[in-house]
Amino acid sequence: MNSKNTIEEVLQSLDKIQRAEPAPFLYTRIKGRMMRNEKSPFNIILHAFITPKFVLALTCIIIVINGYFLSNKIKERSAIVEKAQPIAVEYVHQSLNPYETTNDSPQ
Amino acid sequence: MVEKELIIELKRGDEAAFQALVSSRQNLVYNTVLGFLQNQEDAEDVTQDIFIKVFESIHQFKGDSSLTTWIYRIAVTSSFEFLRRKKRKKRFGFMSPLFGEQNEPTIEIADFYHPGIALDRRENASMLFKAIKKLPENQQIAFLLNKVEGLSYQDVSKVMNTSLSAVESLIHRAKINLREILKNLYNL
Repeated sequence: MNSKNTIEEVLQSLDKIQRAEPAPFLYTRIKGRMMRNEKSPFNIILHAFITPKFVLALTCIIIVINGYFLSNKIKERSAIVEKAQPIAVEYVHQSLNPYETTNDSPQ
Repeated sequence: MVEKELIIELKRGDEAAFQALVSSRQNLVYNTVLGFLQNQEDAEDVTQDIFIKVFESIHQFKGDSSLTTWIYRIAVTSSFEFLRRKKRKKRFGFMSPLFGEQNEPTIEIADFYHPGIALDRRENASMLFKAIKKLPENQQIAFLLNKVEGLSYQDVSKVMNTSLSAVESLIHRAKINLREILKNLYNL
């Protein structure tokens, strides 16, 4: 058999092809899959919330809240520092540092 | 059930209409998908997906073409989507052991034997299917719809949303390419 005949034979091999059939009970299997795919109320709510808009809005809210608490914390700290400043100054004046020679120390 | 009635009932979400649709078009969808995927299990899976897709998106069907043509289009698109997904999975297959995902075999079955082919033509047809896989997508679509599904050039052009002459040219080029591919496969 020459090569041209072989190729032509192969090309004609689909000529009398019969339609293939799926396994029985396809409809039942489709229905089963549809039921499995059906979303529970929890999933529906979850899917409604997990949208780019929602995630973006949530991120913005978190950033704003963080900023608010951070600025409060900074204010609080500066207030404490302000209050503690005179005490610290007084404390420093009263403290005795052996390496420091001051005029008050006995000669 | 007449097609128009069937569409109306499907749009209403009628289960009996859906059942009628599945039983009347299941061989058409399965056979088309099987030609592209060349794997019976995958074809079963994709066929189920296609019917679910048809049922869920029937309200998008405008009636510009027949329902059968529309289903053919979904079948073709879904088949190639599946093949692309499978290819992607295979490409990143080396990562699967890292994540413990070892359920799916990544090795493709070498020879495909279409169940609708007589025994004496099985080997030749298997070789032809192997060659068809190497064709460009649009040539595959035109050739398989014509040869495996038995659609006329006119019907193929409707499914592919192209002109009759374009289909003729696609099938002509497909045959030329197939001859070349087969020559290489047989080392002739």
